[in-house]
Amino acid sequence: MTIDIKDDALSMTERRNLANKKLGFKMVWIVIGSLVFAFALVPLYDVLCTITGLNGKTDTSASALKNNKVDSTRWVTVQFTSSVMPGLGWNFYPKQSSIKVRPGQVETVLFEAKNITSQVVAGQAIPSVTPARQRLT
Amino acid sequence: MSTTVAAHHDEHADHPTGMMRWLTTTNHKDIGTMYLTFSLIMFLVGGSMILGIRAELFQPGLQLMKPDFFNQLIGVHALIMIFAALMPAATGFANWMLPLQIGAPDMALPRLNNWGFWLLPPSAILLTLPFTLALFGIGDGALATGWTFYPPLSVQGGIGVDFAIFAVHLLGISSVLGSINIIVTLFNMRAPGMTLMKMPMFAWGWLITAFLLIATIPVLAGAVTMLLTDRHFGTHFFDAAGGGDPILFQHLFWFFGHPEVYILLLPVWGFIPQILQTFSRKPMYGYKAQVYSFWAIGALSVVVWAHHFFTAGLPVPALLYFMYSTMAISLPLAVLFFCWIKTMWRGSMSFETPMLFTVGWIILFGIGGLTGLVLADVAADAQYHNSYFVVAHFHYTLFAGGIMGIMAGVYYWLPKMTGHMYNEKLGKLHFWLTAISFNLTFIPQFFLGLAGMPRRIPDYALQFAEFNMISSIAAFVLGLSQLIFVYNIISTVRGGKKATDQVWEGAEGLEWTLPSPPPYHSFTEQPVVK
Ligand code: HEM
Ligand SMILES: [Cu+2]
Repeated sequence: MTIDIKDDALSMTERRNLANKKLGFKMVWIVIGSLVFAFALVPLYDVLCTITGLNGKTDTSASALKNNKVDSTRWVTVQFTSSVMPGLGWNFYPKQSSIKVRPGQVETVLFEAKNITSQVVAGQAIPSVTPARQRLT
Repeated sequence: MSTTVAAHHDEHADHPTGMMRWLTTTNHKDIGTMYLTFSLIMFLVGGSMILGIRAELFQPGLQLMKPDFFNQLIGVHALIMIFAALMPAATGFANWMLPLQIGAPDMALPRLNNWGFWLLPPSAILLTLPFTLALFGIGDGALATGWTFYPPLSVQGGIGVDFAIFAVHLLGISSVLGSINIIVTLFNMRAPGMTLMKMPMFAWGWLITAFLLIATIPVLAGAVTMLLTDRHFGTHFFDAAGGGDPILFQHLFWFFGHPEVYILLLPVWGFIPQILQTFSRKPMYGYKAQVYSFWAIGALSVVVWAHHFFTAGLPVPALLYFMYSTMAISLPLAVLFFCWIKTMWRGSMSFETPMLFTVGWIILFGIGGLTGLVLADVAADAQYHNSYFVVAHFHYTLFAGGIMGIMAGVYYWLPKMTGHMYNEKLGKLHFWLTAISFNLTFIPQFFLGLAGMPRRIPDYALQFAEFNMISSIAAFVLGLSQLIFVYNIISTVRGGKKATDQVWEGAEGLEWTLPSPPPYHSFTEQPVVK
């Protein structure tokens, strides 16, 4: 049986208690909403960074810079390093520890990944660059 | 009002007595008392922890403890002070005073209220248990990351982190329950004729706080839950090696963390103007302006969080946005300061202990706000971030702005709650000792920070020695002065000069129309407000 709040048979107090419960449950929805929002922020964070370009991370736009101006007066040394999550049965390392390039010049470098277990293992490589302002763009 | 009291005298007998009364009570005054008592105990516990820190920092070098234990004390001190001392104190006042101030017979959801309180003691135990466990060789002590849980340290840390995560879960549920109860009470239980814009200022402060709490506590709960799954269930939300992003944690944490600082203060901003008008014997200035400022601060507080990690490598447009929005908060804050001062202006003021604390509070909290503006400057913050300057800033806002405000409230309402006047001489002594030793503790920390002393490090370079010694000595005076406060409260509860119903000559509002102490059940027939 559902109780109608406007039911005249209910006393003032009973009516108020019901109204209180109703409003209380409405508030629970806000709580649930912000919990969902917290977890939604994880993908949203990446999406926002991609859309706005507000990101210190690497992206793929470097390869698009075909006719970029090369600054032939300076040399920049770029060093490479890698690490593997504990528990992932991979060897993963850059084939060159550093290269010297002219700013603006597009270069290709090689990394080697080797599965050292006897099973098929899927892994994911996450690139990153420091200092953060020196993006690959 | 006395007729109401007489009519319901018989109900007084049907609540259980002894321990059962406190375990099962749904009475707002009982629950308020429990919150306040719990808060006072935890204030002393958290205070003793930080005296351990100040003892270690008394001299350069490592004398008393290992760095890891030092870190544990710092983190647990902050969590206890914020979640187990300051927040429960505000909730305690809400339980005690909101129904009285709005003419309601009780809180709207009494059973929820009881659960809300009884989640607190277990979480306090969870927070501190790892210290004891470590003595028996289980685990390596409490959380050692500072109260901010930053990964990667918190992903790698020992069982202390897990205990703290569960404690935060419980504390979060507790304050969400408390907030829902307060929102429903304020919306549904006001006396006939009391419109929202006629609510006492304390009710407004709490209404905004409660909404901020239910909107942001779940985000903290979510963030620490992700931390938990990163630690034990192989997810990589924050673990960079697995593709996660530690900076994401900082975003989530401070999305809660910044509103939290206003959550701690809005209730205080609520009753401070009430104290001011009582002891200035004239109505508060700018009621509407203050309410609108509360709204503005509540809204702004959820969009400025990244000022806590300006140095984490944010892009320049984001830095500029967070700098300007943070600075914008000082505008409504300035409106509040103006109203507080204008309330006192040309009033016939008297300086009983609550008023002393309130006036001291305005000045000291003002310093907290101004130094916040310094930190909000991105260029300056690069120098000050993670230094003792930040520590001094947030103690001016949280100890002065929070705790000293709460103390003003305690002295203001204690006669109403107990029916006895506290010892005025001791109250004043407590104020002066607290105000002076507080400044002597934290002013040196501003300069230490400016000179480059980093926070959360147990040892320091020799040039910092004198100021640390001053700060440590003053901190011990500050700590010991609080025993006067405790003594004064206990002896007021036990007895003392009888308080009148109005208690203070200039006091206005429904709570002052009831007897002191108010009967167990009050306002069972609601008063009508015109
Ligand atoms: C106009 C007002 C304020 C401004 C502009 C402001 C600004 C800031 C900034 C920029 C920081 C970060 C500093 C850093 O880590 O480098 C900070 C830290 C902090 N502020 Fe404020 N603040 C203000 C008021 C408050 C208030 C009212 C409170 C508390 C009730 C508060 C509590 C804190 C705390 C607890 C921290 C440090 C958190 C931590 O790192 O552990 N602030 N403030
Ligand atoms: Cu903040």
